[in-house]
Amino acid sequence: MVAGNSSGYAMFLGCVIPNLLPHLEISIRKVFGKLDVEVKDVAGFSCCPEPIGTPGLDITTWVTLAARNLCVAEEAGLDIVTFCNGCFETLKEAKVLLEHDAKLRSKVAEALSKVGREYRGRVEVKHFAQVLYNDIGPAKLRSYVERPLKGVKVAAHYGCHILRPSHLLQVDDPFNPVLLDALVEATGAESVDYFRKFLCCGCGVGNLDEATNVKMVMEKLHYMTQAKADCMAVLCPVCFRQYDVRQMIINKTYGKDYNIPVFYYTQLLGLAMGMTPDELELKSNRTKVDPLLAKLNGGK
Amino acid sequence: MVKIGLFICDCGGTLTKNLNFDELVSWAEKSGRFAFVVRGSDLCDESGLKELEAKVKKDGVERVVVAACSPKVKGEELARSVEAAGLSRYSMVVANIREQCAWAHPSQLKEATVKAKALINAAASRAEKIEEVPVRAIPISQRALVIGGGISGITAAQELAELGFEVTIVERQPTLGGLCLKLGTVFPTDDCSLCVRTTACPALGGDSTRKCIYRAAIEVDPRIQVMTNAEVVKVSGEVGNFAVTVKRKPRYVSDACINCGACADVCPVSVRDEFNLGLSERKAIYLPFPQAIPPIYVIDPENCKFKECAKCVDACPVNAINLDEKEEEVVVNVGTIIVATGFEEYEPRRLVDYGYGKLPDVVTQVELARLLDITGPTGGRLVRISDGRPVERIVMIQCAGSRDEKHNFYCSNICCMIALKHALMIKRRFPEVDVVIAYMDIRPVGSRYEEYYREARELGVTFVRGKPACIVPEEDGKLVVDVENTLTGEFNRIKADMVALSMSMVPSKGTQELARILGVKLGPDGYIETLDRKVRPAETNVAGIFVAGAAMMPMDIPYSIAHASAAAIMAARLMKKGEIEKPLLTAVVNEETCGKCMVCQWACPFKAIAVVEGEAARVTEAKCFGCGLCAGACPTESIELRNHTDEQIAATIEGLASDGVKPNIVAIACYECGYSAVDYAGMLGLEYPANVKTMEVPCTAVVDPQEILKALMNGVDGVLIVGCFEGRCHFDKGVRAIGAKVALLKAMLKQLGINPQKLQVVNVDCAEADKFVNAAKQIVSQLQ
Amino acid sequence: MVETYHEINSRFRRELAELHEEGETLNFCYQCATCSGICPVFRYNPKYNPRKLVEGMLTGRKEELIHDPNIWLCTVCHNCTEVCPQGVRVSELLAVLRNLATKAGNVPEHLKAEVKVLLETGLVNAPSKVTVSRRAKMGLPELKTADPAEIRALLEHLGFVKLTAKEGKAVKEESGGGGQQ
Repeated sequence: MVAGNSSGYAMFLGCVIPNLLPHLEISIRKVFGKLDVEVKDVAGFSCCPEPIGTPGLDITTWVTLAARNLCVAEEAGLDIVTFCNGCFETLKEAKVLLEHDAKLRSKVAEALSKVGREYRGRVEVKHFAQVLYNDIGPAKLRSYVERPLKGVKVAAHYGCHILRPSHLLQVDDPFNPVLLDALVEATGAESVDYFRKFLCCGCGVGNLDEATNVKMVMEKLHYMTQAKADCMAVLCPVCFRQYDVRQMIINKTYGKDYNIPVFYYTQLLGLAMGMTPDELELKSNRTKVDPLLAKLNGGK
Repeated sequence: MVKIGLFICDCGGTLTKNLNFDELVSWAEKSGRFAFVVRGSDLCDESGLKELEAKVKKDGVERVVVAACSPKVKGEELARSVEAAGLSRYSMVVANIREQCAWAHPSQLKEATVKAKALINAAASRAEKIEEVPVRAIPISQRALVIGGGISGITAAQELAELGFEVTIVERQPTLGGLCLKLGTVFPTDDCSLCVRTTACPALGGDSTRKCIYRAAIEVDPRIQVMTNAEVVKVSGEVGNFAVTVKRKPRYVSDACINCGACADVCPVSVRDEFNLGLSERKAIYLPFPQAIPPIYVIDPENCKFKECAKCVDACPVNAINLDEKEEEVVVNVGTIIVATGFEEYEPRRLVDYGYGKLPDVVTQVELARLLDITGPTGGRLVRISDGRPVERIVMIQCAGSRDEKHNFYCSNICCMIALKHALMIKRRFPEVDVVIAYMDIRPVGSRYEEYYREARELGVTFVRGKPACIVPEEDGKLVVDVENTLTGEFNRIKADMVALSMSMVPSKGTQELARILGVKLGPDGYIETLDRKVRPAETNVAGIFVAGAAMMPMDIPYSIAHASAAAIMAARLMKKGEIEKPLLTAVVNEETCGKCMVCQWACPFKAIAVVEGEAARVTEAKCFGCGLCAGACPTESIELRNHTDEQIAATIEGLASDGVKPNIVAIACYECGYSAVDYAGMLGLEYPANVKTMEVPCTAVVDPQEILKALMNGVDGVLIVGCFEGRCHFDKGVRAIGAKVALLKAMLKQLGINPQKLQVVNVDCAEADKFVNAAKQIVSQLQ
Repeated sequence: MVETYHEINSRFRRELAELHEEGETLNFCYQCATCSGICPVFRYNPKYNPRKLVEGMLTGRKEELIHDPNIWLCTVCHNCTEVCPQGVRVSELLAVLRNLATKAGNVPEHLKAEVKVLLETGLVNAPSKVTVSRRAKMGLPELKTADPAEIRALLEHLGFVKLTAKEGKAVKEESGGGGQQ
């Protein structure tokens, strides 16, 4: 914990959730509304900016914009919680790089001074999964569960930018992480092991090479199906789109029959906490979650 | 006044070119320091040595100063003459006026002559202060302990027995044999893994080049005591007399066992045999393998029902089974210890993406060896573990966990050959099976090992250069190995029925704990570190403890046997005299002033000094190398190194500074690479200012900061420390210790307003004379 | 007949090492191919091979690499960095390489479009009218993001606006030697 910041977190929703997947925001707000952690809306954040293209264009710019966002939270006296792996990597990595690299630090400080800001390095950056796992803990989380997802086999997909590069992010063991698996189990579901668990969703290559992206998604869906997963749980809206939307397109375009409903983790937790599919806006998910809901109801 | 005699040698007259000998002799005669001064030209030849002996005897001097060549050149001969004259060899001090004076300053006749006087003065001052060195005889037990009963331990034990010593082998498993037991066939001979060298035993067929382990008469050799199912739990004492506590786990079967198997026949408990990857079964009472040594059954206490059942007790025709047997501790007294604990495969589950443990057809090379062994669980047929179908293609993955900063940074040395051996076995026996080896580099280093690589290519083994990233299962049960073939730049998905991981080899479980018990040092790879990585390959940092075979590094059988023989010789060399005769040029503790702070214990590289139970620090003389690291580190000045005491060092410095030249520089060189480099400068005729005068200490770390400060206050303008280079200190961490002290002292000097350049360090290899010469020139010019 | 050879030099690797705090890890590469084996892009598209990129960095193929459009294929999953047995920060080094490519005007179209939105809105996914009404319907609060003018000012100052406005192979950098001769 960073001294000086009051309790609660500044919600860093990023660009994708609010603009493209507002139904995920519903689940976030509803679930966190019931938990013992306060997340607050803070005005003035820009794009994190995204960690795939921006650092490739100019690392300094990438870190500077990130540092500006950290400044905004710093001014509000709050630590940051992100809801997207991309935002997490950007903000956390920027923080770490600014701690290590004096040359970069002075370049960034100079740029920020031009817009009247100063970065002091007093903000902690956490992924919401870390808040759930570390601040609340799976045991306490279980006490919020009213309708355990008993018998549901969940394939946990961590995504890249929460785990890697591990030497900078320091979230979990990159080869044997437990974070999401433990959160999945906290809902009463079973986290099933499957091959290629750490395969990327392919978002970063999709703009230039759609075919490769599609194959990556299919590979992942293949091994989840092989492991007899009922659904998958993700921690990142970008991954969510890849599997949710692309799965539907793949089934149509390539005549495939993948049937892995995709849940953003707070959707899954919301269900377990007793919220209804309607409350959680699950109808906005593109892969139909009905089979899973049926299994849940049947299992009662 | 101590009576000192001085011999000055002009080396066949040659040194007179560079030194004014007439002046030197008349100065010495007038100095009043010497009972006599003898000038000679051939002190080191037979007649010269005889003359020295006669003169010392006749004049009855107590100390001898010899001003001549470097003590490293003729010191031993001179010392013998001094001994022959009835004095201790330590009564002689050499002033090195050849390598470190005449030869080093050829164009400074006047200055060199002044320096020679200073060197002689210093030698005389030291001679006045020198003490007698007692010699201690330490009796040494004629029994050796060998920890680990694999190929290395067996070899070391046999050698020692042949050399006439008694040996106790302690083996953790119920049988001797170690890792070799599982290997079936081994390189470089493609034969059984269980041969050892013979001890001549006519009843078993006399001497020959080698014998099966069960015919080698190890357990019946009266000189060898075998303790299986046993572990070393405590060691006390020191070289010559170690008391080793061995915990013996109950075997429940006594050595009355006649190995008939009646017990196993009636035993109702069947369990998976871990020796065979769990593919075969054994009983709860079992013989670990058919040629087990000792050939005695053993009960597996985790699965035996004991008194509930006890069928074996009734079945045993010789009443060898005792279900009440308890664990016991026995103490063995030995003179030396050989650690031969070997190695094992790295945990394959750590390589998550290879799926070991999840994919049954992913095995390690040792497991593959079991499958290929005709006495193994499949009778030597290469079939899949998952479904018993024959293997059509096997992929081997090299460097699994080796050369990897996340796992084991080192090359495991033997895995290339294990893979090639298995590839050949498969291709020779089942030519239709496709063998693919995915590798980074193939390193078959050993006598004719390259032949394996060549034959593997000849028989059609496919080599793919690339390290596979992951293994995944296909729907049809086949495995797919994903790898880039770097030579074509293509991504390959190699379909296989079985994958063998050529696992990195790591020290056996428990090595770390054993090292702690023994006090021996481990290297960064976790293997036992040798006393010197180049020239002392079988000794450890603790006197009397040796290392044999793969406990020291991953090693194959031929190398293990050679290494074990070396360890045995090292141990025998110590034990053969029955006692260790040791001149006590060791650390001496002043018990009254000792602060019991344990700094000495930390400083000693040889575990030779310790503070135990609140008593003053105690030196184990048998282990002490006399380096003086403890003396240099002691914060209360309570440790002195015999014959390198603070007083003696101060007297020597005073003598060196007595010539009053400006700037007056004293070089303090360690008697290892440092002093040799200074000598070497003279031998090469690399000239440096005669202001620089060298004295020796065992290791520069012995020098106290106070001595340096005192010198700087008493007429010395600069001190140049000449030590070995970091990492090659002859006493492990002396260079680092003096380096830290010098850094601190320099900071102090600066604060006191004294030029910190007055204290300098140069670290040299003995051949780096030029480095010393440059440092000498530099300090003189900087302090001019 | 035209002779084709590449002249190996170490200037480029030194330059890269200077440009990133962990750039020196490049030197540890022993070309084992664990990175390319795990790379999800290389698996399906041979035009992108992280091992070869590192090899190119080590042997000084600067010109070739900074003008290669395929360096933008990397999906930035960082698996290469994670699995590297020698601790080479492959993905970080790739970012440095891409920065040099950007300076040389080698930027893919989709990123140019992204930059355009960023410069206008301070975001890479800006709210559309549909989004605004959809959020309102769901009862979600109005978004209060950064003032685009501030972001624009910051990007101007950083030279980012000028940098990303470059077209094609506008900049010809000093070659690290070699290439096709």
